[in-house]
Amino acid sequence: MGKSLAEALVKFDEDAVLGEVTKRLDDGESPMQIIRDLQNGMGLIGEHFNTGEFFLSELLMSADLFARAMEILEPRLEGTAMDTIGRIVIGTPKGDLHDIGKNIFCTVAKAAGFEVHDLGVDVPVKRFVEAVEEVKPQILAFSALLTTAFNSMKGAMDLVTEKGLRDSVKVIVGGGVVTETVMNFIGADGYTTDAMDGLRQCQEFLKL
Amino acid sequence: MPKETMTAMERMEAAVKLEPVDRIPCAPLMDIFFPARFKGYTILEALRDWKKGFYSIVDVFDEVGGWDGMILPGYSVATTPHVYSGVSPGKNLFPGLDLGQDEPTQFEEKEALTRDDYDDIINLGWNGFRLKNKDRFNPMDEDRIVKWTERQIGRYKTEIEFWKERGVRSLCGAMTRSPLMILSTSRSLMEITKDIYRIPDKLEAVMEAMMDDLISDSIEAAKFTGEPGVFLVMERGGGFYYPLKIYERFEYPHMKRMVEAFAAEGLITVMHLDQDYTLNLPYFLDLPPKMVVAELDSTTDIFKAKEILNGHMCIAGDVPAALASLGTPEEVEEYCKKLIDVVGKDGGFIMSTGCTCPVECKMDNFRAMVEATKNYWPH
Repeated sequence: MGKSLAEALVKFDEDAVLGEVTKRLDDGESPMQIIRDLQNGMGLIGEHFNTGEFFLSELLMSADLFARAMEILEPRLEGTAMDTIGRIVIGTPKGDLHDIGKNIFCTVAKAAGFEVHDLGVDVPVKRFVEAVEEVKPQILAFSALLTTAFNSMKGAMDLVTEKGLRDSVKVIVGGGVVTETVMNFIGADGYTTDAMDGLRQCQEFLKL
Repeated sequence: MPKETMTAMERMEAAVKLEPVDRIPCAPLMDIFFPARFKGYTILEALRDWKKGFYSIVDVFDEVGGWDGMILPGYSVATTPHVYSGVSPGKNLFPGLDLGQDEPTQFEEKEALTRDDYDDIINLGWNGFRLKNKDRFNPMDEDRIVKWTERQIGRYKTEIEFWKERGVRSLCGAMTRSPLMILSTSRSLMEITKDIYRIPDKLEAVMEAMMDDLISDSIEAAKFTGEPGVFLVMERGGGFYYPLKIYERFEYPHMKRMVEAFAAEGLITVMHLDQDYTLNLPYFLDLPPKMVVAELDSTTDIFKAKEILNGHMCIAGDVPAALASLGTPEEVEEYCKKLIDVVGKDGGFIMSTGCTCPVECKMDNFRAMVEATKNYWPH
């Protein structure tokens, strides 16, 4: 049963995925088990993406379907804590309103078992720092498509350092405009232009 | 410094036609954001006042001792006198209205079109659909739209003429987008992707119904402005997003037909390719030779592009936005020299910014790009 759900997700078979999620819930199955099966499906999609067999469009389709399945499942968790492997605080910094890449990353990170705290777009410097203080994440992630975000990210990093929080988090920056130069400018630990590579780096961070 | 034996106009023309050059020409893609910062204007000030905006570009030109060409002559819209089909119905966010006064314009990723619109587009064509829905996509009344259109085309022609008098070639007299680009930005990337997978035949019919208007309006606009080139925006159809089987069905055939139709009218096409098109490069060999400029933003492998497209089409690009904004002049110079060494070998190359010159670009870095291009010629 779990295999068929994962396979249906890999094929973006909307009716099969949502139908099976609903049916298994109606049959009284644990939502956490269904989520694990969906996560296995997203894991397979990640593997296909990493080998070049799948493209961003396939990641988009499956991430959207995963998110919709989660909308059905989350209300049924009834206070059950989800198994998570770590916490990520993420946002698009002040001056940049783009969120496509960020949203894809959030979904694949959730599917991989991260607890993701998405601050949204155009996020002020202070808000990042507040979220790091509140959530105590292992990872702080910035998503940027515009060069206007560079100074905002640097400002957030300076404030994180000033508050003595820098050693408590690994920092990654992702987005179409991001390069090693940007990573060095803001003082991050990693950078990426690809959601799955970003996820891989976050998983690596936790092993340290 | 190489001995210059060509005018800037001749150098640009030779680069596009893959003929020998005395050195690589430089032609940044320049909107008003970086020039406004240079002049100390807010983005809003430069956008509202055309003279302030346009002449801030001219001031950047003078500050660095000039360059050879403009991909686009300024920031006015190369529209036709009646309808402008190349604009996406999606919403742009403007400084002073939706954004802070000194923030660059940004695009809002929302569904301006729905699947329910598709039948109308198929039945009415793109312009017919837009006309039917003009109140929905544009809050201005018809009189104001006509005046806006006349103002834009008038300014566009003025910008082209201004550069001509300075001996600078503007490459494009019109601007349009591929059907996929228009639909992706007006349906949203997520929704158009669902359409591709869920209703491919319907989507294909929609795209087909858009083609005649996109082609004929671009040709008309280019003839009206007098500059024989079309700026064709394609940012969302490449291998970064989609597998080749999707590219072959939903982007490539339309791109090819547009470029061929423009070439038949003597118009070159500047393909504005944002995001990584490396996988798609071999397809470009089917486009009319010496009639296309592949303008790259630094995410496509420009060196691979040279390997594949050498002798077939001109390449423009691709000083990365991050390098221009955060790098040093020495780093920019080194990168530009590498471009000239490899991509500039045998000509067919225009030094340019990777996508538009970023608002955070440092003037010394911009100067380094222009000076490296003027002063370095190893071939």
